[in-house]
Amino acid sequence: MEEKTLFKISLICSLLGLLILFTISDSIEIKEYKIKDITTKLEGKEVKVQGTITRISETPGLYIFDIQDQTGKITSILFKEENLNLTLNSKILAQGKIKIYKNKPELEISKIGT
Amino acid sequence: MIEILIVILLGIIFGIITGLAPGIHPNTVVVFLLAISPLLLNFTSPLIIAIFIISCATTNTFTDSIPSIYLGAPEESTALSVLPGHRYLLRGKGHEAIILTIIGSLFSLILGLILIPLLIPFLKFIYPYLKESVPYILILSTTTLILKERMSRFFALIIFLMSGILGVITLNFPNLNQPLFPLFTGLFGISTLLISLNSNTEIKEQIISYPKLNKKDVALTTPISVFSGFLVSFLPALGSSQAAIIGTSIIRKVTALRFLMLIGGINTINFVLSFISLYLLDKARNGAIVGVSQILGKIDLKIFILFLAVSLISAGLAAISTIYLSKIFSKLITKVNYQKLILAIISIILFLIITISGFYGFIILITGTSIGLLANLKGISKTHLMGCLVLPVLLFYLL
Repeated sequence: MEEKTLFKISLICSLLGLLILFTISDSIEIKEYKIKDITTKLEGKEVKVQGTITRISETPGLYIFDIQDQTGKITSILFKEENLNLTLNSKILAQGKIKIYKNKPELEISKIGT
Repeated sequence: MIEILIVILLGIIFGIITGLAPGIHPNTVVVFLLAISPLLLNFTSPLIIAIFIISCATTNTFTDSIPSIYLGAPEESTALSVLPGHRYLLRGKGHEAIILTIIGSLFSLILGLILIPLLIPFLKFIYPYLKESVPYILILSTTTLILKERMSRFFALIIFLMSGILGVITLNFPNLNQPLFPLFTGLFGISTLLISLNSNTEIKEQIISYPKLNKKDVALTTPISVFSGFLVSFLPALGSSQAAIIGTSIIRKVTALRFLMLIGGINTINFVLSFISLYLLDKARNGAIVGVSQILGKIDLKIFILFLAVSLISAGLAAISTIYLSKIFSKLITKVNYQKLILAIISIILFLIITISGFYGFIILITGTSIGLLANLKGISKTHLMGCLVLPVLLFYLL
């Protein structure tokens, strides 16, 4: 194949690919889990969890809190970027990645809503 | 003592397997080990598991140059060695390219170990100042590389941005397994193989020869490997590939020979020096060290020195194994039709990516391959494709 043709095909594929990936990644629906179903096998997975905050603590860079639903409890962390208006017993819907800390699953929150 | 030596040998065997198999990283072994660690701890101690991880990961930094150079199927840390390594392969000197990465690794390891007594107090002093400077270091080294581009600075910037955008999308893609596998194989691996396929390249008879090195090459690349490998070993969000960007931006004349030595050196020394971060700062900066810290917690001076000894033993044996394996690959690669071999490699990689990362991984592979081809066809250095990791890190710090 001539280099010019290959260049044109590559340019079209790369731009089209970027556009498709951007559109898809933005529209993928994240699955909501019951807390009892979150195990170490889900490490690295993006999940949604709905529940009540039963404990809140703070370090200089993190909020750490427990989210509880009818099936169990999970420790969650959130990096401090802005002030958080959450109180004990607030109901929240959190989205984030499952990380393993001391052999237990933990939720590293990227989005949080009430 | 015998238990330690046996586990080092086991680690080396696993390091060879993970190094040779495209798409399988030692981190995969670490994740598996962590998952079965409650069971393993009935038979052995946490320290033995940690030694296994270190031996496996050190060996991997040597053997992973083989698929990168002979098959064009790199991992993150060896991605940049594909093109110069491929050039050596086409000239019948694939083995020389491997030897260069090994020399780079060994010299950097030795210099790094000699410098450790100085690096520890230096890190203690400099860390508070440098930890905030990651984005500025990256901006400076990327700008230098783009300005140094001989073919077209404008196109180098475009390639950097396109691969950067692909990196941002890929690394934030929800629930994608092993996102770096399709990203790097596309940008660096398959694009190079397709160019060879398109130009009906034939691989010359491979000669088992040794590179002609002059003192200047060694004297230049070794300290730069150690410096850039050390820098990224303790700074957050940086790895071997960013160290390569920093290293190449420092060297004025980057020949293929120097580049291969630099990549080999950075790959090994970055891993070994990351023990300092764990010991001094209690921070794990790569997947294998995360595994070690989860199993052992904080390490003391005695364990730190033990880890250095383990990596030194593993490095020596890994170097010998890699030379031996490279000779086997040199013989095998000319016995097969290279065009058919490329098609077979591409088919296997496609199968692995669709199996591991699914359909979205396939789209990332195609997009990455296209961007990699653009760089190849315009004669732009493939270093700019590292935008796929540099841009996400920059955005992480700046936004």
